[in-house]
Amino acid sequence: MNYLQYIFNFSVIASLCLFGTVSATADGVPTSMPEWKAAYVPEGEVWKYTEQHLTFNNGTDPETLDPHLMTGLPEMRLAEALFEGLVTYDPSDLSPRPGVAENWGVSDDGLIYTFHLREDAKWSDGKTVTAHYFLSSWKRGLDPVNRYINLFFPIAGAENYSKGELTDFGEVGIHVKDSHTLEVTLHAPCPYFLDLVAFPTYYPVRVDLIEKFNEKWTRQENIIGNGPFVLKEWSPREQIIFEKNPHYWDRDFVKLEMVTALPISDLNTAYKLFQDDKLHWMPALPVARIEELKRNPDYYVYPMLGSYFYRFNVTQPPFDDVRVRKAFCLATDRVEICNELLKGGEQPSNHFCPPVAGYEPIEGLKHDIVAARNLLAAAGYGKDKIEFPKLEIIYNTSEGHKMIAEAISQQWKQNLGIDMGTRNMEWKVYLDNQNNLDYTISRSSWIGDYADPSTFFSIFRTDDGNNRTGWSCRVYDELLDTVSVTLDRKERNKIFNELERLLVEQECPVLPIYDYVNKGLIKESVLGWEPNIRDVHPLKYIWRE
Amino acid sequence: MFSYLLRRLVFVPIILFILITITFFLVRMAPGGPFSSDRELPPGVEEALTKRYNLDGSVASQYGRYLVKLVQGDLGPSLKQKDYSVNEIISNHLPPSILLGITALLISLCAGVAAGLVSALKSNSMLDYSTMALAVIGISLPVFVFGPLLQTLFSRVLHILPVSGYRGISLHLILPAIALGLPFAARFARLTRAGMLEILSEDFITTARSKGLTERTIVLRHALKGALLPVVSFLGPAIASITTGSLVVEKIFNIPGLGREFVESALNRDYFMIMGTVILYGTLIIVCNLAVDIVYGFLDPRVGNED
Repeated sequence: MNYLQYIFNFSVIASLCLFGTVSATADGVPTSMPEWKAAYVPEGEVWKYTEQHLTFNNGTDPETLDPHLMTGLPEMRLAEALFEGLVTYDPSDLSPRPGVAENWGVSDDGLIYTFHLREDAKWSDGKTVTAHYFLSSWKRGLDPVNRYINLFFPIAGAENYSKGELTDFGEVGIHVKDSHTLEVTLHAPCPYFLDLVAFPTYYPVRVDLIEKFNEKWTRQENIIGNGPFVLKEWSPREQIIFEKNPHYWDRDFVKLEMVTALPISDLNTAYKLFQDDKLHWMPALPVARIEELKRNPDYYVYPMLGSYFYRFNVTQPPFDDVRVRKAFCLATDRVEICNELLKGGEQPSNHFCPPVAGYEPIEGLKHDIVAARNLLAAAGYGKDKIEFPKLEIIYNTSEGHKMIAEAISQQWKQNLGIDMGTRNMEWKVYLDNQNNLDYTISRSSWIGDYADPSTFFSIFRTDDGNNRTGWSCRVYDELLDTVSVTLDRKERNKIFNELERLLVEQECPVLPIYDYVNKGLIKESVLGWEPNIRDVHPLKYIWRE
Repeated sequence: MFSYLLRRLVFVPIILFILITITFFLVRMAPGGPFSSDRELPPGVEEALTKRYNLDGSVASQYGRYLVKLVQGDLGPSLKQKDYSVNEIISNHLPPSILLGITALLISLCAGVAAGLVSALKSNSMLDYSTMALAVIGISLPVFVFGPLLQTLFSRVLHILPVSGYRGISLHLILPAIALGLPFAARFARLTRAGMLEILSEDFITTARSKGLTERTIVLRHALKGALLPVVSFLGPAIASITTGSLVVEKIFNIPGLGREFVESALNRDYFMIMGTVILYGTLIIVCNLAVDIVYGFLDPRVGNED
């Protein structure tokens, strides 16, 4: 993946956008477009005789359609259809592709990004999308009701402004040079900044509309977007229907005429609809039927940027002793969990951060019962020594978590002779316990927000709100500081490997179990849909044949 | 009867007030809050959200502010479904629940009462035993088993009814209504049977028989009214519960009803939504029970005469 190359080498992007073009035909009109995009132009005529209506199961009703209030993937899937940022994700490798910005330049020091907006970008009411709209939207995004506000913080002054320490928005590094040029100044180089700019919280919204309708601005009768689709119907808990946006700048490229998103949370029902051809894509599966589904030719599975792990509370005995933590890590057989229990293609992992953007994880601590027993004995536990206290793994109520907790507890009993109880908790209670370090071992997971390992490692900084283990390591924090100003990809990955080593080999505040995978069913007739680690599938590129 | 009703009506707001007060404080005592998530909120965000949703200040002052809004008919915003207010959510999702509930109630009343009558009149026959066995299955078969079974049979195998979805009054209603109504039908059947058997052993029925009336007249003119009394008293809570939806049925059949709010609002600590559902359900229960008492007065002359 030549991800960072794109970011730092403007000429590469320019050459891709301007010179690396091929002739392609959409709707019979010859256009020239870059090679990566031409791959999403259907060959032949079949698709023209197919109804270009895609129905997929979004699994739940969106909590909101406001890009500044949303937090979950189901919401973001919908927002991506209605809005378009300056930069968009490549459907295959998620590298930054032109969105509202036709192209962009980065200063040599990596601090100033200049985005050149295309002239023909329009809102769905026909108004031109100018740089001013981005300025006002991002200003709104800095209101602390936005839970993703920290994604704006690489921008100079953004954090201070959001905290009220800076009152003049003019001092924040977002400047309109002219109606189609936006200049963004960062306070420090951020190698994944373009990835952030493609994130929903950076989408432009119509602040004029929001002031007029307040929280009702996202209703079908009010909402105006700039994305490839417009909202035709939002019947809560029934369906959401999108239609192709006739004002979208790249409308000739958009193949789907209509998209229906269903909020079916009962996945067995969704599967029945899929079998009846009433559903073309379901990104979540009924786990109990995984064996049957795996034989379905429409089944897909591929790696995801997410990690399933256990947290140790390192502030209390016995897990304040690194030897004990390490022993538990060594005594856990992840391969058994993945292959015998989950059977869904999950990757057993001895690392915390999955492979991403060229980063390759280290080997980590392998399953080694003898070493585990020795460590435990060295820590003073075992026969004729201190008896290991009776403790529990906590997990939020779910069949899957229960299964894993019980299996791991069984492994520890077998391998270490330790009886570890398991206890399920209602979601909010579980969060409360985890937050207040009122646990000994807690099930956990982390899904990356952007394609850079820092989205994983940064959470274990001392006192980070997501740390939740009580673990603090000065070397780790210093390495995080170093990596945040390191731009060279190789150098960065080296530091990330050192962070990983501290986390899963030397200090072990966490016990990695497996890397998540995306699993689902998609009809063979759906084309232009690409697997990727973030489970992002821009509808713009999809068509049916 | 009138003064009895009046006395009952006076109690309605008092009961509701107590219900609201207890729920309000109980909900705030639950661990975790509406904004906690597996991702820590960036600094300042929790404060901003708390302020935006009027959750700042002491719980007592929040309670006061809530009551003021409530009197004006404002149930507040939903903390989970951020683009909608509680009033809107109830008005969006109650109608499908009512429509589905009434359909289910009609189906279960017809089937249940008929089965109960047949059972009672042919008591201790094979027909009676098999009907009552079915009723026991109906009560004990969980809907998350029965619902998918219905879907598989009628949609996947026979292809005569849709799997899921909601289109107002349409074929889409039939399967969820049966799934929702089954346990009620079973209860109705058992209540009708018991009521009928009891009435049939009363003296006035023996008198009627000795006068030489036909069995048909005895059952329909004399016994039925009294036999249905237990059914009627069960009807009050049944209507309240069946018309406010069911989490499981709504999930399985993808019905945009209110049922799941009762469960999910509590799990999400969606404070105002919890209050909204509790107030709605409380009012419904009170109203239905009152209606049942009135109907009872007509069916059974003994009620309301004591004063």
